[in-house]
Amino acid sequence: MRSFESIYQEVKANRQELENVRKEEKKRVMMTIGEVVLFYVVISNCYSPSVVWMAIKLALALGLFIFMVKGIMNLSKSNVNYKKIYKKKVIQTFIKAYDDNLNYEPEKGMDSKVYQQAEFEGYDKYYSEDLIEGLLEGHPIRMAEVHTQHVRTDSNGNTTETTIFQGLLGVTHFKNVYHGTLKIRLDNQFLGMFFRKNKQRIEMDSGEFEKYFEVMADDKIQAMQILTSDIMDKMISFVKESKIKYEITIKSDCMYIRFITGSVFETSLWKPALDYQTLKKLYALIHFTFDLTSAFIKVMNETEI
Amino acid sequence: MGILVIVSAIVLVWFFLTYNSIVMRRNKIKQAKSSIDVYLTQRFDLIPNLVACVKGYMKHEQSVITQVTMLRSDYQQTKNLKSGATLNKICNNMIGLAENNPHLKANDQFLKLQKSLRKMESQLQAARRLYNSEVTVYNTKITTVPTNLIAHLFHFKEEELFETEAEIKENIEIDW
Repeated sequence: MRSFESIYQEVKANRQELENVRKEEKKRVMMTIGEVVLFYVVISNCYSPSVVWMAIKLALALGLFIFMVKGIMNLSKSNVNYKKIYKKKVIQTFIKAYDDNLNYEPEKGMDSKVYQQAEFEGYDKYYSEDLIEGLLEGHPIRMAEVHTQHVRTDSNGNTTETTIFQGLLGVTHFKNVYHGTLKIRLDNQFLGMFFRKNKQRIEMDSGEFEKYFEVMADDKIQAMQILTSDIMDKMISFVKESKIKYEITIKSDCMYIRFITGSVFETSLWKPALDYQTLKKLYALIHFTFDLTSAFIKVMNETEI
Repeated sequence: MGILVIVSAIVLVWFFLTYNSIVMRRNKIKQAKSSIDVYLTQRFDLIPNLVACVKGYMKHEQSVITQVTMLRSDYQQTKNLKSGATLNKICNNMIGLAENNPHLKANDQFLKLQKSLRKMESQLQAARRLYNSEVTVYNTKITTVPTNLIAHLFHFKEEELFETEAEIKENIEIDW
């Protein structure tokens, strides 16, 4: 795998083109804002004792109004257009540079059934995009951004949507089958003290690991076989270094990993075309998913699970 | 008076809950210990096959067979995890040495056996880790305040952690 710096330098080569698009789109937004302000000023000073002056002002206001409406209509288009170019020029190049066998399709997403199989919490609304697909040591691997929400309607008919999860979901298909379900969840430091009565909970033999995660499994021996000290160390190191929270489910021939990161593929007109930190985060997420999955594949092969 | 009754009730409830949780933890250790025993027994049941498979390539097989038979019967009688661990290490050494033998590498029976033994070894290691983890939780519970009061009252004793193979100091040698 290539290092982050070398990939970043490659992506950086496309920066100027993208920066020009961003500046152009930004200029359009600024012009629309100017038109709105000007329209407001003209319309609020429209009244004049002279009919001629008033007619001129009204004509000016009408002209501004037409430009303003056109500008506002183009606003969302500008944003969408810029994001499309960003994903193509930056994210796609970045992912291809990381691993040539990976394909990135920004408009496709992960099926909601796949997310449900991982047995994370329930939701009312599901949305997914930015699908990355490829192979890892011959095993199919997919990653995509997922957004789940609770939708509540009060007695007055007002609907509110609350985000439950937004981040990156990774799914790998193993050749071996894990018989049962293994869940690695974030440890609820305080509440966990009172709700640790789950019969499937396993006390792991690493105090450090227990600080960050709790493990639930229907087959404790199998779970211990998979969660070797090397794998636990990898998991701890990542969470400590990156401060990114994540959860894992291993079930049947699949491993699901979700990172609670918010959106990692999006950009804005108001941000520089190439954000070093955002790309570094994306690199860390993909690299860790590949590294950990590879470690799990190795353990599963060695232990003949 | 009312307050005294409430406080006594709270203390009594805490007492029962704590006592039960310690017993529950101790049972988990027993369960984990029996898992180790199950995996060790399963593994040792394959020893005759292993010896039969590799003996043609051993110079002094009789001494090893005697040593293995002795340790196996000792384990079956005493269920002492330490002697089980020593025997297990001999098994691992035998497999390790056999793996370097080109004749055995091509032997189907040995390869199948090696696969089974490896799988069992992995299960055994997992069972040991589970046991150690249960023991750590139990020992912490009975030695920390305030549960140590109840542990002391009912003579709950600290359990010994299972040594990993690397920590077993016995020198086990097999002649080939």
